[in-house]
Amino acid sequence: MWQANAEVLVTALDDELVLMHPTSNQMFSLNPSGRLVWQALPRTEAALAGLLTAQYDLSPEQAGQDVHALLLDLQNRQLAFLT
Amino acid sequence: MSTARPFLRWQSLDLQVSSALPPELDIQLREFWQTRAGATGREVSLTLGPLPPPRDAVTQRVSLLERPLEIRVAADELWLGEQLWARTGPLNAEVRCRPDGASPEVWALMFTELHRAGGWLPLHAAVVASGSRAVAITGVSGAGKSTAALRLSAAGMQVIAEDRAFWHPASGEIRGLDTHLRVYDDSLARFAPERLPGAVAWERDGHGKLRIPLQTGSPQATRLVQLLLLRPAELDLLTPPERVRVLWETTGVPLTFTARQQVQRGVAQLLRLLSPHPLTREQVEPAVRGLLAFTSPAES
Repeated sequence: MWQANAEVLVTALDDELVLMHPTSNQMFSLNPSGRLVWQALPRTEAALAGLLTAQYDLSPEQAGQDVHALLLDLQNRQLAFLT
Repeated sequence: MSTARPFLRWQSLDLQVSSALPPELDIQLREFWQTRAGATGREVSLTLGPLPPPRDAVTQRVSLLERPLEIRVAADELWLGEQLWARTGPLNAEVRCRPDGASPEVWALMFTELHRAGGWLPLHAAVVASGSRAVAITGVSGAGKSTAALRLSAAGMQVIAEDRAFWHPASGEIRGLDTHLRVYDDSLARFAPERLPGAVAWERDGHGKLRIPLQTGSPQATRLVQLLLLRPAELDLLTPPERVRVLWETTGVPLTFTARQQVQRGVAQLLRLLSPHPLTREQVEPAVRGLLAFTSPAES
């Protein structure tokens, strides 16, 4: 199960979401599909990929790759973690 | 067990403070945090005694002017080093101070967090008002906020904060907590020469700056109409992520759960008031004059 770091500071900016790590102050912008994934947390990677497939015109393979890449990026930035 | 003392009652923004601290410590706190106008809707008790032990707390270190400080947070519980502990919330809070006291800098962190939890956004900004309208001017230290405030003061506007202001997104009200505007002699001579004769009566701060008394406890509530960013050189429009960064740099990072929820909501509202056009020192005075001169039909 993937979870958001509860201490991340979130600012909605039109249809994007800007995440800021509270101690490093690093910022990370999520586009609408990233925003959809972030706001669905906590969920499994498969469930998140399913969300993308349902919302966008993506094949399950492509949605799985996109979600995987995003989650790893979020994890590397300590914005989300796997429990 | 905390020391039993009669409570002294005073007000900080809309927070009713009940203090059982020693009078000499209580006086120091009032100097920085007491405000007089407005209704109260929240309460905090300040007591002296051993701090409760941290439980399940996340630890981080921050650099203060005096020394690094270890901060521990568990939801709405907060430990600031070994000096202060608090349990915060949107309406009520309690603060415990160790028996030998805490430094003003650590108390400042604590009061700022208490006000964040109550829905106030701290703004590192100079604030200038005319009537019920106020404009906040933010920028890094040294950008020229105080000089801009001095120039606008000389132009007849009321300075309600030099760099310590709190904005209440729910009501739009903005309040200043500074009692003085600090400027160097040459700034005074250049931008407000008509005030030079009064300078002999003013004290100086540790950097040799003149401390010009500000009118505190404004007779009417002032509403923030715009937040301006002061930059040393002319720059392009702020990109959307840059605007978000400016806001978080202006308000600082909340520590506890309730404060984080409140500030995130507030920052989203403040985003609408931040001008995407950074201003130089020369541009800021006419911009503020224009913003404060305008009165919408709803305000007239």
